[in-house]
Amino acid sequence: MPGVALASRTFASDDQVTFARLSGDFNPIHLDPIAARKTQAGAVVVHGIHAILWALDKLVELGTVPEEIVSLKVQFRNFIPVGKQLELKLLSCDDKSIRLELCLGKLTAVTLVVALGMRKRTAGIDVPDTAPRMSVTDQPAIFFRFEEMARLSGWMDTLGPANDIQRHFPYASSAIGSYRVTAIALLSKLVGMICPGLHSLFGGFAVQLVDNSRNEDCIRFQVSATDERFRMVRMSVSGAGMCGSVQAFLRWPPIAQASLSEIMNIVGPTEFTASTALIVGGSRGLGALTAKIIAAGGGKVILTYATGRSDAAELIEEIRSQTASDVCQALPYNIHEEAASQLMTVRASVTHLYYFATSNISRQKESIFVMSLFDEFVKMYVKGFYDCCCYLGKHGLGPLTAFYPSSVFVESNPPDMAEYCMAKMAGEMLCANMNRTGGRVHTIVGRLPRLLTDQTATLIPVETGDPLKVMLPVVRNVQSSRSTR
Amino acid sequence: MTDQEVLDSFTRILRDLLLDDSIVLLMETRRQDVPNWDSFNYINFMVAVEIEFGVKFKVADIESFENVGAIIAETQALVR
Repeated sequence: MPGVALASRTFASDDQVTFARLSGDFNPIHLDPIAARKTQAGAVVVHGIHAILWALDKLVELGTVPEEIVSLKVQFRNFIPVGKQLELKLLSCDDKSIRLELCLGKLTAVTLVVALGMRKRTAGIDVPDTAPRMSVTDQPAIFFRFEEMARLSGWMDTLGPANDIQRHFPYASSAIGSYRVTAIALLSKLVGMICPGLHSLFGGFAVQLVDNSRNEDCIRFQVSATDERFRMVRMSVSGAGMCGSVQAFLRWPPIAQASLSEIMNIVGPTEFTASTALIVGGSRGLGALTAKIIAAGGGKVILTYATGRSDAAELIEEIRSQTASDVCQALPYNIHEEAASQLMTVRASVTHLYYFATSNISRQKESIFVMSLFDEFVKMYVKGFYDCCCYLGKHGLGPLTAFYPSSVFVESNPPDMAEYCMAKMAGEMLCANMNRTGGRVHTIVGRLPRLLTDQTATLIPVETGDPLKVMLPVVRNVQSSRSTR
Repeated sequence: MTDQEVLDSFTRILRDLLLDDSIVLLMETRRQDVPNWDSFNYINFMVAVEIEFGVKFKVADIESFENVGAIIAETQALVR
């Protein structure tokens, strides 16, 4: 929907730290790139409440609020990546309400409805006095199981951060009171640190700004409803001059693949001996699973990581603790740089290549085809693979079997994944052409079904395959193909 | 309640959710036909429909509804 642009802002890493301190929301999705890449966001994202308070501050500063604000209704629709420009747009404005959007290009990230009029008095919700107090410096984020959230209640002190809040949001504070701005800021902590906590997604909130003499210096909260189908939780909140409800979701935690011990029970100890597999993108997900399968079968594994150094270290530790110490090694690898300089030390020994390099495949898009996204995927899934194969084919000592993981999405072609599917299809065609030339590199393409990984965990449960059941026959096929050539 | 009346309710619910008064739902409308009707808003839409009509959908159905007409058909079946 078109709207009138009022202001824009790009949130930076420093802003993340500042708002984490102001709100008490230190959830890793806002601060830790490694943890954030294992979430649906795929990268560090702005605190949604920070964006809202900036918008409210701007709205008042620009004189767009002619009367007293009586309520706020907010929906968080898409993640706001750090470093991306966010635009505040006015959709409509009359004497009863102001409707606004926060947009990333053409994509709506947040919607905000500000209702105007006369504030009411209200009693608020009744949370037991014995309910736990959650201080602003509570760390780390709490991890509740879904079933544990149904009866949660507690309260948060608003006195501590109020002065800093007033300094950062002076116009909003003048319009609705710094204690109410503080209360809104603390909703970020409520969702990000307490309930659902560590693996949370903030859906939205609707609050009335009320004149309430009781509980001015704290917010009380109580879970009012849960919905297991969507892992959704609703909370009532009141205090500090507001009352209303908050909607949030419990995200799936990072997906753990099968352990090496489990795999060793079903893979023969000598199935893959005399082979050395280079696994690009092997620090997590299907790459890590493949590394474990090959190591379990007595093969040597060289896995690469782009940013997940600690993930790679953990995986190596797991493999080395149960196999020979020289079975596994890790090296950094950036598909945007030439393979030659990065693989020089390992080129001679590699017999198999598994190319699991990937970025976040499920992207927020503003149109049916985004050229820059297609370019990014082609670099990742076509050029990167070809570069790797060429180098190993040219400098290796023997034949090389390269596994190219394509996807069933190529057949179903989901509309929001067009660029990904097109790039994977291009990769498949490249593999066919490489095989046609009959060089040292033989490629095997596998269209993998939807498997449960960090990338495919969604709010609405979707049927996914067991990664181990799918990948074990794939690896057996790839590993055995070398001996038949 | 006729299918058209349910459709009108659905249109109103979605307009409120997406803050877009230009939305006009048809029986054959699919989620991808409506800008911003993403998975998150789909959940909110389904929950709002459940509250309005006093029904509860199965998660497998929610995942597999092909278009608005399918949601209306299931809503009508649950209401009866």
